[in-house]
Parts: sequence; structure tokens; C-alpha cells
Amino acid sequence: MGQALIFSGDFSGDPEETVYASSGPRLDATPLDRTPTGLAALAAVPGLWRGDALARVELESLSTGYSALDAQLPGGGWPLGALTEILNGHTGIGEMRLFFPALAVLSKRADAPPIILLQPPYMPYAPAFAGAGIAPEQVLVLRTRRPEDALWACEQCLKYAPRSAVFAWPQRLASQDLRRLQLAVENRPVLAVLMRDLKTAQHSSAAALRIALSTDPGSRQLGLRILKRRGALITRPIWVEPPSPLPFIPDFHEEPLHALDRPVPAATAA
Amino acid sequence: MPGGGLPGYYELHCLSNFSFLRGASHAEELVTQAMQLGYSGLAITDECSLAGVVRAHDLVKDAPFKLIIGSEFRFTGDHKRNPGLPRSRIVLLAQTITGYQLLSGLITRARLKAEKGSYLFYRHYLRNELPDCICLYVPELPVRAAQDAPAEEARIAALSRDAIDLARHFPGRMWLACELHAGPNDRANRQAVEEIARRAGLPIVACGDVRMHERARKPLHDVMTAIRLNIPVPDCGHALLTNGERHLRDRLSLARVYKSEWLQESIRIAQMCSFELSEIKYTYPEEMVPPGETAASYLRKLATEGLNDRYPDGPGSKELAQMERELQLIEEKGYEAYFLTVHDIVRFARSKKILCQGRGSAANSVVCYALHITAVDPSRHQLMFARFLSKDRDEPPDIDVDFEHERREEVIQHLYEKYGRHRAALAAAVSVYRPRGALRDVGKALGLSNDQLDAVSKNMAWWDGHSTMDKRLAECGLDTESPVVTQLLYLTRQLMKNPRHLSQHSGGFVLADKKLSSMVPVENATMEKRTVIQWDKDDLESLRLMKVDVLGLGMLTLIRRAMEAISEARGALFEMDDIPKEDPEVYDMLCAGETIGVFQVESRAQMSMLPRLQPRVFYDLVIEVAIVRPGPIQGGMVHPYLRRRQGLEPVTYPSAAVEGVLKRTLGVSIFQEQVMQLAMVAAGFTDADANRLRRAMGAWKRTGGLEEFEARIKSGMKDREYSAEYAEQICKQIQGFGEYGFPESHANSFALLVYVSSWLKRHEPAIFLLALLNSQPLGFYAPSQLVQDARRNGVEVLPVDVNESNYEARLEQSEQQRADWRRAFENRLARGDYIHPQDNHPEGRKLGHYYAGTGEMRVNAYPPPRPYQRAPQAAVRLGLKKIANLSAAGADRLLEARRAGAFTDVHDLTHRARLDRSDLEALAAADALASISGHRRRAVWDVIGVEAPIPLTPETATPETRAELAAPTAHEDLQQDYAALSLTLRRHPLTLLRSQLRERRLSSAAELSRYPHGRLARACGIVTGRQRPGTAKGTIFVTLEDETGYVNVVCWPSMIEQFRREILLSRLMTVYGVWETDGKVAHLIAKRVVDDTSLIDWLATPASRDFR
Amino acid sequence: MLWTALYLPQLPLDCYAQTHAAQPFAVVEKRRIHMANAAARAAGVRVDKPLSAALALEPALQWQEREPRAEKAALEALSLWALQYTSAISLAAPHGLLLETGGSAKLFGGLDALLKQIAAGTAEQNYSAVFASAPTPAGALMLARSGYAEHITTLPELRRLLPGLPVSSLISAQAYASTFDSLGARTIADLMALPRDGLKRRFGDFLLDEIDRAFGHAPDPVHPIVPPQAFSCALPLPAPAESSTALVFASGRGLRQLEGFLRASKRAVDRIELTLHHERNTQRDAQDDTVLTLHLMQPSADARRFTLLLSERLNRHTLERRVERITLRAPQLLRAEEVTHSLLLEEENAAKDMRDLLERLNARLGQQAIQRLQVRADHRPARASGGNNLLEADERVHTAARKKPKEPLPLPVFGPRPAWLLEPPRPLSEVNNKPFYEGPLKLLSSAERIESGWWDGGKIRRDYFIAETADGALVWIFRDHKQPLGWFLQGYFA
Repeated sequence: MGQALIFSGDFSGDPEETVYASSGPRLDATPLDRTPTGLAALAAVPGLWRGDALARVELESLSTGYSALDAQLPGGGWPLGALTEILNGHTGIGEMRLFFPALAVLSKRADAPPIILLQPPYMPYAPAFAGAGIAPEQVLVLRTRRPEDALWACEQCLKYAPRSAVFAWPQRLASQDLRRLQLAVENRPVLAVLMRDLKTAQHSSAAALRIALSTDPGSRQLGLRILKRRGALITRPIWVEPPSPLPFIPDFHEEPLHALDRPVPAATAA
Repeated sequence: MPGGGLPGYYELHCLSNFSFLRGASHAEELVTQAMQLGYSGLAITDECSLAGVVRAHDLVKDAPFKLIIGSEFRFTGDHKRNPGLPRSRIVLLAQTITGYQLLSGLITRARLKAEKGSYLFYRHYLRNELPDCICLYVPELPVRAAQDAPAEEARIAALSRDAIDLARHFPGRMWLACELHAGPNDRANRQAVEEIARRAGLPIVACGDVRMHERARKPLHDVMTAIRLNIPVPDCGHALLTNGERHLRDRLSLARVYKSEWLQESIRIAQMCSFELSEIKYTYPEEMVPPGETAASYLRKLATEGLNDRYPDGPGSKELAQMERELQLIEEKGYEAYFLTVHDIVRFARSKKILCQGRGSAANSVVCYALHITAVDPSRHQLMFARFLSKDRDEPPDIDVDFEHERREEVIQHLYEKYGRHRAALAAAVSVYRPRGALRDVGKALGLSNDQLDAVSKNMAWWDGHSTMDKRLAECGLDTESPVVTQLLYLTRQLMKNPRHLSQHSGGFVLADKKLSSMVPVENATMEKRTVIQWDKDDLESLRLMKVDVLGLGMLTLIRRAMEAISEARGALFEMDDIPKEDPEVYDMLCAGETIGVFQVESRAQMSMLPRLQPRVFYDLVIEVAIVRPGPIQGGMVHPYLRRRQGLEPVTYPSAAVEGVLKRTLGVSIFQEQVMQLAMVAAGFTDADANRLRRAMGAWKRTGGLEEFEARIKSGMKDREYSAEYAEQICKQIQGFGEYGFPESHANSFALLVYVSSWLKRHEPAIFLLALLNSQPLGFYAPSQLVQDARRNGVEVLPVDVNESNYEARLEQSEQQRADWRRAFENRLARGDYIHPQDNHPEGRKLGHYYAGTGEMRVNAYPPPRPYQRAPQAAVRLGLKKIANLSAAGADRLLEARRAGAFTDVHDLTHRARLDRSDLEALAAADALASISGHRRRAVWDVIGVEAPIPLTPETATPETRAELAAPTAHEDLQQDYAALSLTLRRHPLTLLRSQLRERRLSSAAELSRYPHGRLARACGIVTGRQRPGTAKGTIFVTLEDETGYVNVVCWPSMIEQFRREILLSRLMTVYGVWETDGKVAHLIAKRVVDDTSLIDWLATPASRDFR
Repeated sequence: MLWTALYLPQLPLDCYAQTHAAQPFAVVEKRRIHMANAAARAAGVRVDKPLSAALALEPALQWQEREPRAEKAALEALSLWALQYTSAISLAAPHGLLLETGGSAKLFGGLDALLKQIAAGTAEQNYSAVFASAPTPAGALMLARSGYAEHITTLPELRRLLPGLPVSSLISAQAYASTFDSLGARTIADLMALPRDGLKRRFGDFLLDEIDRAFGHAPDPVHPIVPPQAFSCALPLPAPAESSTALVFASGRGLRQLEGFLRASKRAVDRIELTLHHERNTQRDAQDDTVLTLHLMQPSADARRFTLLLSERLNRHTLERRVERITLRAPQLLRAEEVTHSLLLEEENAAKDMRDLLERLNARLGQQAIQRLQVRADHRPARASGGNNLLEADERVHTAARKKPKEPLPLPVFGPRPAWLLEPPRPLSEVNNKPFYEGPLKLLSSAERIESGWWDGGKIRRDYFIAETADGALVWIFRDHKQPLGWFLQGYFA
């Protein structure tokens, strides 16, 4: 596999300054256009590590499971071998569920790649992952006491955990740290996601993809505003519907609050 | 509390604990709870079973509450057919008797297809439309974490298809059950059910899938799940219920969970179900009635014939009148066929020479006596026919017949053959959790280790109930304050009395005119070729189904053998009826308490009662049998009766009416029916009341409920001006009889066997021993004690011998007989009256018995004595059967080979009988080769020198140097006797220890018997029995045996804890205590007990017989 | 030639390494007591009695099924130790060793001194042993087996003694014990009084041969053991050990034996492997052993040093599951000159795959830093998820030793569960009867009632709901039915 990307300019510079080489993918093209016809069918399978089988210079990606989103991402899915930053202000709006479809596909692969969660903010809950079709045994949770260990560990994972998915919740991240991480992941087929607070949006970042999340209370939609990607910027958020914990009811119409919704009074003690 | 304004509700899907280890409440608890919650009714729908419904039915009989009968099923093989699909269940409810019959047939079909305890239920069973049954389809919807539209749609589609498919069999009679239990997907499930209903066009009904009557049973339910899976509770994971919602929820909660129209549907369904269990009509088979006769005329004919047979001089007018009364009543009630059936069974047994005798209340009936069903002449006793059959009581008669134990199976198979398997089955016996089993299973479920549980259950003696459980646990090092042990105790108590499985009743047969399965489901029993119905005897009684008890009684086997032996010895048929009645010598023996081996009165308690009671007539035996029972003992009747009998207390009656009831028992109630009669004459109970009381007494331990009667008795007696103390006393007696008491008729039947066996012991001790040995196991005593007892009574017992013994023990000419014979022979010679065996003289053949195998001239020394005349006793030769490790096949070959002549030496024996080394060694160890080898050591040397027989080679012994072997020591012989035969005919082992014991100043039984009351005494003996009667408040009675007799030791509870180990485990026990005697009965009251087993460690004494 | 027989009458019992001094312990054969130690006998436990009776008498009784293979292994290990005293040792199964002591006596300052040393060493290893010496090997064994702790040096004296010995002193008599008993043959003299042809016919050649060998009438070849290239000894324990101290105690015997062996072969070790075989209840647990490797800075053959290091190492190690057997191995025996070199052979591993990565993370961040998620089958939310220590999880996925259920258990499937769990849950305030968390919460689901855990003190009774915050976040909250009633936040559907 050859060099995937050629960066130029200042790494710490403004994202907009990043210039892509001509050998890179055509940003306006859909993934299928970029693939030779013989491989078109293969490439259409969601979650396939595209490019893995190709001896060509390609950006590897992992289908997100949302076609609207895939269409907007360079490479047609979550980028591999580059940092993705997710910026979120509210825990619980679906920041992890967003990745569940992709991770479920990842989890079903024969080589059972690990899904590493570095310094997650709360206790990752095995039944939730199992319920989403992600084998919990593949989920590794890493916690370090010192921040410098965290960075080191993240770097190690990006470098040496081939074909895995790494999610990190860095506390503080200097731009050189980001660069280090970006360098570590470069060229390796790893899904690398940094989960950061929305407030860090104004800071510059070496990440290849930056997405800010927003909600629409009452709906089940999650809004993705792409702050940075390889290619032209879009300002309209993309709305996706991550897997919901709420029951699927085809003709669900809001009934007046039914008895079921009230807590059942407890009878005498068991 | 019934809520006003709330919709009515019938729970239609509810499992009792007869869905073993799935339901955690008794059917009674469920019904009671449903009533209290104001449900309109309840369906008991155990999984493929109707075992719990009768109990529920009994409870609602008179209540404004509807019981619906149904059953739950899971289709076999569904998970294979549709691996992706959850397995749905159906509940079938009987609408009418037709529906019920179909349901019962369906359960039978499913149960008979599978082995005991399981069932196979295929969809094609429903192919033929099931009219009069309602089907509830219970779609099982899995727990799911996230929305998955395609999966949801596939599931709903499949379930709808399945429902549509099933609904074809239940046009207009199928509902979709919606069962919500505050699970994670309740709302989605509700929507799914609605969607299925829409697609399948079915109405929805709310159901509870109830497993327990109240939420508090959830821990027990969890434990049951763990027991079912055989793993600890914490490992059960998702096999446990998520919550306790599967209980009978109050109606407010139901109204919150379900749409009110779904609740309404339950009412609609209930209204469609009109069936009640009381509609079951039972008809008795009538095929034994010959053509041209009616059942009534035939019964009358048989009874009249039988009566004439019973009274050779013609029946008296009293008997005839009684028979007439009985026949009329039987006809009125339509019970002829039942009597004919029992008669038929008895006739079959008699034709096969199987001894049998009716017991229980049937002994009150002249008809039963005439039909040879019972053996007690009712006219000789004052019995209550009404107890057996009454005009006012709508209750079928219950005739129990004992058959000799060894041959009962022939009778059972005869019944199956005669009536066919579809019409005959055994009643069920519900095997319930007892303390030890419950503790074990709960302990396992709570994760206690096997070793801990072994230790605990080992430490729980046979008498420990749940009251002492805490203590036993503490002794095993468990902290009874710890949460786990607290839970263990709490849950053990809850699990106790829950049914474990259905087993078979000891012999209660239900026979039906048509298919039995249309009345009650039939299933397979553990024993091959046996089928049982799903109801037990209480259920049968409650629904008035008749059963015939075909019971086994070892004593009858013994009597049959003894009668055969006497007949053979006398050369003429000798039967039970030929035994002389009221023989004073027999009563002398009984008064002395010498009853080892005698039926019923051989226990320690009975033995010490006999000298006090001083039985002189048959009726005294009836009392003796009945008085040493928990009923009279706990009712405090024993001492008053004895005092009155001995004239130490005046015999008084509170009224003439009471005198009528209690006169024959000196004013003290001893029999069960006397208590009932008292309730009638003294408290104004009607016959029906009294009968309800009797039933309540029987069920008291299980369900309680005597309080109601107590109050009525007290007020009734007060009205009739009896003292409050007397009323209190009567109530106490009633409780006592609830424990266990004998009805008089039953005591009568048993007393007859007591008399017969006592007579045998007194007058034919050799034959009695022979029959006892050949009927083992039987009674309280081991063969070793029986042999010792017989020898003390002058019976000559001969050792096992390869050239003399048969497989079983047999009679042989004794020394005394030989002498008598010689004298008779000389007389005959003198008279010129000489018979040679080859003469084939008829008299010469008759007595072959006394002389088997000797080839000597045979003469019948004793012409058949009739009437009875005591003859000199024969000797008893022990049989090869007693030899440990001798194979039955080897013994067979040996006996076969011996027909050609006695064995001359071991080599001859080995080759002719083709015995292998282990059989030979067994014979040598038992000293059975004495006649061909000499003493034991020689026999062993010979035996181990034998080479295996090689076929087709000439068999000659290899010559070898003769070995000089000294005779074995007394120790050695004793040791090997016990090891090989469990008894010895040599000196008692304690004779070897006597000098040692004398140094320790320990007395023998004979010495103690001369002690005065109150002397300090010390004794030592082999423990032959430990008894701890439930009535003795924890006292343990230990029997010690030495070379001179027995010492009866009493261990009061106060010292038991201190010497528990010694008392429980000693084989040789030394007791220090006080001798107590009243001149008739003597005891050694233990103060200190020492385990001296180490002195006889070398000796394998037979295990002590420990009884409750 | 002089032969010393070392007879271990209690080998079935003694082959288990002691973990405590006076714990009642018995070896069981076919559910009956085969042999019991002094503490058990004092409690009333008797040979040949059923195990259940013994347990009733002494609930604390530890017991093991008799294990002839362990006995043989123990005998072999003891013989390796004894090699330091003589080079000619042979096994005299089942329970004895034969040492040629005539040759080595001088080296140790005479026979008495030599025997004293051997006896002390045997006792230190907690073996009860009887020693006897005689000019014939069979004779020495017979003396020892009959408890005759004499050292006979001349043949005539031996021949005077032998007829008085019980028949049980003959190894070949074992199979016929009860037969001899019933023949009344108690002593060798009794046997010899019986005709030889008759004896031969009944008991075969071996019996007479053994007598002849003992008397020196027949040649008696012995087969000396050949020392192995590596040392390994198994130490079965009387009962599964729960504490490291018990393990240290138990390992003592093995370390002594190692020392004896090293001395005899003039070697040393720099590495000892201790394998802890955990209690296992299923087949799957078979690989479930813990291997502790003990590195010595300098090669050594000193048992005291080994013990010191081992106890240090074991005390640092927490036992997760009970240990039922220990194996002690010295995989490599070093000559003196090989020693220092091996220490330098520690090589750096290049991180090539995941495993290496994890090991590295583990090394720097500590064992607790990496957890592998695991669903646990428990209805209680806080217990439904677990983290497994990574390396252990790697080596033994099935840690819990579980009995197989009669029917397959249902898979642990849960309803909707949040990706992030809060444990302990956070109390929520209630405003207008509604739970409040950064604003009023909107309940989106019906109640999921969870009621479980009465058996371990962790009983809960709660109604769970999915609720939406004003910001549109989905949270998992519950209402507790235990006192105090109230609302709690337990998770985020992140």
C-alpha cells in the first residue's frame, strides 16, 4: 500500500489551508465513481475496508451506515488512517449511537478487531453494545491516571492496533499532540475518533474530519455539522437517525399518556 | 378488596406448583388470593397437567367464585421448525364436559408419548377440531434492545400466520392472550399483539401468566428455577424472572396495564366455560356380571353363597338381617359393581393361592366377610357398618385389600390385563418436599458446597424436622445468623410441602367402565408397564371416584409360607381358619412381651405395653394394636386406659350416651370412630358433620382447619352440659387422631394377623423362624436376632452346608424328632408294621419333608393331627441365600448338581457345579464346606487350590502334599460368620468380651433382670435397634443385646445432646444408668453412654435397625 | 552391600503437601476412609468407615480421593532428593525406597550419621517413614514394612529374624491378605510351614521368590533410578488452598526436594516455575492455571533462598481462585559456568501485533488499566456489565467455574440499555411529580420493572424509564421502590 495522502503546509495551521494533492480522491465524486467497475459491487458493501484489497492509492473508509452521511464524507464513510473529531455539548444525544451501525459491521468481521475506548467519560455498558450488535468482548476500555499516559496510550493504539477503532476522550489536547496523533494514525487502517467538547470547535485542529453534533428535541434525529473535511465545506447540517432505544412502532401516534407510562405502584414488599 | 368501578376479571392463565418447579404457589393459595382480590374466577392451567385442579375445586365448591379447568402447552419441535421464532404457548380451557374429556385425553396422549415427568405435544394433535375448548394463543415476544423494523415485521407476520393456522381448529373460540409484566418492551409488545390480532382477526384477552399468588414468592420461584436447572441461583442469570409481576395482581394494577375491553374479554370467555369438576360421572365396570343376571342379583347370589360357606352351621338371623340391610344400601347407592370388582380380584388371588385380606373399614361389612374380602367375622365384634357405608353420606366405599407382598405384582398385572391399560391405572401419590430434601435443594440453589450439604444432611437424623433445623446447621459450622443461612431456612420452609413430582400410590387402582383418560389424564409411572392418573387419593375421594387398594403386606407372605410348611409337615391342608382360637398359651406369651417376629406388636413400645395390658382375649389385641399409636398417645389415652383396666381408677362416663360409645374401651376413646361418635352424641354433630370432621382430621397436618370443629364441639358439649375440661380433652384427642389413629375395623383385621403370627411363634416356632427367614426383609429384627430368639425358644438351627442346605432355609429332622421317630419305628417294628421307602407307600411319601436327601427309610411318624396337636419341632437349616457374595446362578448350579448325589470334596463340587473362584470362596468363608473339607481354614486352602475347570478335559485333582492347618480360633470363626452370614450359631460375641466387661463391672442382661427398682446399673451390648417415636418427645429407645438377652435403654432428651454421637453411632454401647422396673417391664435409664465399638471393630455385626 | 529400606506407611496421606499443621485430613477410596491423619483420628474418623459418617463427626474434615499416581510421583520425587546420599536408589513400589548405604556410609561419617541425616530430611518433608537395613534388599524391605526399625548387618542374624515377621511384610502377600488371614497364616514361619508345592500352586512363584530373596537364597537384582534432565515435582494439596501462606507452606517440600536433587547432580538453577493448578469444575477450566516464574539474580541450589523468594512472590500474588495442586519445575539445570551468561539473554520484543501492544500498555499502565467489556447474566443493571482484566481474560475467558445447567440457559438479552452507565446512580430532584434533570424530563417509555438480587444482599426493586432532557439527550432513569423513594439517573443513551 502506498502513501495515502500528501500533506503540505503548516500542520498546525488553519484547516482550510490544507491542500490535497492531485493524486488524492476527487472530492465531488461519489465513492462508486472512483472505483473500477469490476470492483464496484464489492465496494458497495457497507463496512468493507475499502482500498484494503486494492493495490491503489486510496483513502480507506468505513461506511457510517447512513447513506446521506456517507455521501458527504470523503471516501464515502468514516475515514480510516486520519483523525475524526466529534464535537458535542450534551452527553446522551447519540454521540456513540451514531457509530453503532459502523461498529456493528466492524464487530462481525472474522478477525474481530478491537474497539478501544480511551478515557470514556462514564462506564461503558456492555449490554448496550451487545444490544447494538457489537460484541462486548471486542470493546476494550483503557483508563490511565496521568494525562501524558493517555496520550502515549492513544498513540500506541493508533500505531499498533491495526484495523481497529479507537475512540478517545482527551482532557486537554495541545495542537502538537493532535499532530502527533494524526501522524501516528497516518497510513494505518484505523478508525480514530476524538470525542471533544463543542467548545473546542474554535480551536484549530489537525484532524481530517471535524463534525459538530446538535439535536432536535422531540425528534430522533441527530444533526451533524461538518466543520472540516477534505473538500468543500457544507454549511447545512446533515440529519441522521441513529439507532434509538425507543420502541419501534410503525404507526406510532402520540396517544394521551397511557397508564403504562406511569410508574406502577409497588405492592407490599417482596 | 374488591374495587368498586374496576372492571371484573377472570385470570385465565395461571400455573400452580403442580407445574413442577415453575409454579411457586399452591393451588389453594392461588384460589384464596384471587378471591381476596375480588377476581370473579380463576383458571388453573398447569403445564400439560390437571393434577392441581381438584384441590382448587374443593375450595371453591360453595363459594361464588368460578374455577375454570385448563392446561398450558408448549409445542414440541417448534424451535426446530422455526429456529428464529420464539416458541409460543397455548392455553386450552374446558367449556363443557365434552371439552374437558377432550382436554384430558389430549394431556394423556401427550404424556403417554414421553417418559415420566415430561410430555410431547405436536401440532397435529389439534388437527381434529376440539369442540368445547377455548384456546388462548400466547405469542412469546422476545426481549429486544433496539428497534429493528424488518425483524419486527417478520416476527409479527410469522406469529399471525401461526395464529391463523391454529384458529382453524377453534372457530370463534380462540383469543390472543396479551400478557404484560412491566418488561422492557411492553409497549411494543402491546402494539405487536394488536397487530397480530388485526391480521389474524382474533379478539384479545388480558392474561397474567401467573406463577405465584403473591409477589413475595419471587425468591422461592428463583430457587425453583435454580433447582430445575441444577445450578446455583446467581448462575441462573436470565433464566430467572426479571421481576415479581407474575403474581395475581390487584385489579387496580390490571386496569392500569390492560385496556378495559381486554379485561372484559376474560369475562366473556369465562361465561362460555360452564364446566365444573363435579359433573364428572364415574361408572364402574360391570363385565363380571354373567349374562342373565343384574349386578344386584349377582351380588346377592354371591353374598348368600358366601355367607353359607362362612357359617357352616347356617348363618344366624343377626347376620342375615345385617346382610340384607347392607345389600339394600348397596343397591340403593348403586355400588354393586364395585363390590363385584373387589370380589373378582380377591377370587383371582385365591385361585392363585395368593393370600389376601381386606383391611380398614370394610371389616365392618358382613357382605365383605361373605365375599371373602375380609377375614374378621363382623358379628363377633361390635363394629360400625355406617363407618363403611352410610345412607346419608354420598361417599363411595373404600375397600383396601392386603395381598402378600411377594406376589402382589401378579394381582396388579392381572388387573391391567383384565381391564386393559386404557381403563385401569394407579392413583397418584404426590411426593412432596420433606425437610431434608428441601434443605438440600435450597442449599444447592444458594451455592452451598456439596460437602457442606452432605455434612448437614448426614447430621440431620431421621427425626429432625424443621424445628431443629437451625440447630443442626449450627452444629455443622454454619452461622445461623448469617444472611445466607437465614435465607436457607426461610426458603426451605417455603419449599417444604411443595410437590416434587407425581409418583404412584402404593396400590390404589382406579378402574373405569370406559376410557379412564376421559375423566382424568393418565401418565407413565417410573416403573415400566405402570400408568398413573394425575390425581391422588384425596382428589379421588373428593370427586367420588372409587379405587381399589391392592396393597402388599409382608406378613401375609410369611403366613402363607408357614401354612404351606405346616400342611406339608402334616400331610394335610392346614389354613389360617384351622388355627385354634383364643389359645391361652398364646396370650401367656404375649403377656410376657415375648413377641420378636410377631406382626405389629414387636416394637419396643408394644413390647413394653403388652405386660401392662395383659391381653387375654382377642379384643384385647385389637386394643393393643390401636393404643400404641400416635393418636391415642398424643391424645393422652394410654395411661387412663391402663389405670382403669388395672382397676386403679374407677370406670366412669360423663353420660349414658358417652357410655354407649366408650363402654368397650372402659370409657377411654382409643379408635378413630369413637372420637367421631363422641362428636355426634356429645356435641350434636350429624353423621355428615362427623364425616367432614374425619376428613379434616386426616388433612389437618396438610391444611389445618380443625379450629372450626373445635369451636363447634366445645359449644355443642357446653349445650349438653358436659364440663369444659371434658370438651377440652375431646378436642385434644381429635388433634391426636389427626396425627395418626386406627379405626377399630382396621385394628381388628390387624389383630387377627397378630394372633395368627403369635400362635405360630408359640406352637410352631421352627416353622415360624423358617417363614420369617424366607420372607426377609420383614419386621423390626435382623435374621441374627430372629435366630437367637428362636434358639432360646428351643428351636434347633443348623448351619449352612453345601450338602444339606437349599437355597432358602428349610426344615430338617431335629434331634428330638429323630429320637421320637426311632421310638415310633421300634414300636411299629414290634407290631410288624414295617414300611420301606421303595414300597411307594402313600404314607411313606407324605413325610418326605422331614427326610429330604438322606435316602433313609421314610415313615410317617405323625399321622395328620386335626384338630391341631402340637408336634415336636423340626430343625431349621439355613439356606445358601444367606451367604454373602454367593451368586444366585452359582447356587442354582450347585443345587442342580447335588441331585446326582452329595459332593465328596471341593474338587468334586467345583467341577460338578461348575463354580467359579468367587462362589467357592464365598462358600468357604461361610463355613458351608465343613462336611467336605473340614474346618474353615482347610476349606479355604482347598478352595484356593482349585484350578478353573477346563471344558472337555478329564477332571482329576492334581495330587499335592497335604497341608497341616490348625483349626481357626473362636474369634476368627465369629468374625467370619458375621462377615459371611450376618449371624452366628456359635457363642455370642459378648461371651468373648465377658471377662473384660466383668473387670469394668458391667452386668449382663440376665443379671440386670434380677435387679431391684432404682439400683445403679451398668450394661454393655451390641446395639440392635434405636427408636425415636414421634410421640415420645425426643426420647430415644436403644436396645442392647448380649449373650443372655436384651437390655432396654431409655435415653431422655436431657442427655441426648451431650451423648448424641455415642447414641447415634455406637455399635457396641456401654450404658451407665439407673435400673427401673415395675415388675413387668424394666428399663435402664441412661445417664452416661460410652461408645465401645472399638472392642468389636473386628466384627461386622449386622446394622442396627433404626426406626422412627 | 548393605541396603536401607525407607518405607512410607502413610504415603497415600503424606503425598499431599501439608498446608497447615493440624488440619484433619483423610484419603478416601470408594467413598470410604482409606487413611486418616492424627487430627482426623482424634476427631473420631476411622479407617474403612463411610466418608459421610466421617463428615458428620468432623465437618471440617478435608479429604481427597486416593490417587495412586500421585503416590508414585511423590515416591519418585523423594528418590531424587535422596540421591544426595547415595547413587544407588531404586523404587520399591508401592510405598518404599531402597538405598544402597553400605558404600556411602563412610562419606557421611558412618551408617548411623548417614541414617540420621536421611531421617531428619524425610521428617522435614513431613513424611512418616520407617528405616531398616539388611544385607538383602528384600530383607530390608520386609523389616521396614513390618515396622522393624533395625539395622541388621549380617545374614545369619537376618535369617533368625525373618520367620517372626508378619506375612504382611511381604509385598507379594498384599493381594492375598484376607486369604492368609482366613488360613490363619500370620507369620512368615506359618507360611513356611505350608507345603511349597501347595503355596506355589495357590500364590504363584513370586511369593516364594520374595521369601527366598529375603533370606538370601535367591539373587536379588535392583534397578537403580536414572536422574532426569530437568526437575519437576507435583504437590497435591489436601484441600484447595485459599491463601498464599498455605501455598508457601506446601511448596516447602518441593523446594527441599529440588535442593537435594541439585546437590546430587551438582547443578544450580536461576529460574523456578511454580504452576498453580486452580480448582476446576468443568473441562474447559483445564488450561486455567497460573504460572509464576521465579527469577533468581544468581543461580543457586539453596532451598532456604528459594523459600524466601517464593514467599515474597506469592505474597504479592492475589489468588483469584482456589488452588488444588502445585507443580514445581526447574526447566533448566545450569552448570556453574553457564550461569551469568543466561541473565543477559533478556531480549526486547518488537511490538508487532495486538498482543504485544496490550502487553506494553499493560506494563506501563498497570493491569487494571485495560478492561474488556463483558455482559454478565444478571438482571440488575449495575451487575450486567463487567470488565475483565485484559490479560487474564485473554488466557482464560471462562473464569467462573460453573456447573452445567440441565437446560441451556437463555442468552442474557436486555431491553434498551444506555451506552454510558452511572454507578452509583445520581439522585434526581422531583418537580411537580416529575423527575427533573437540567429541566423537566419527559418519559418516553413504559416502566421496565427490575426486581432481583435478593440472594446476595444486592436486592433492588426499580422501575426504569427512558426519558428525554430538554436538550434532546436520552437518559435512563429509574424510580426506586425501596426507601427512600425517589428518582435516579443511571445512564446516558450516548
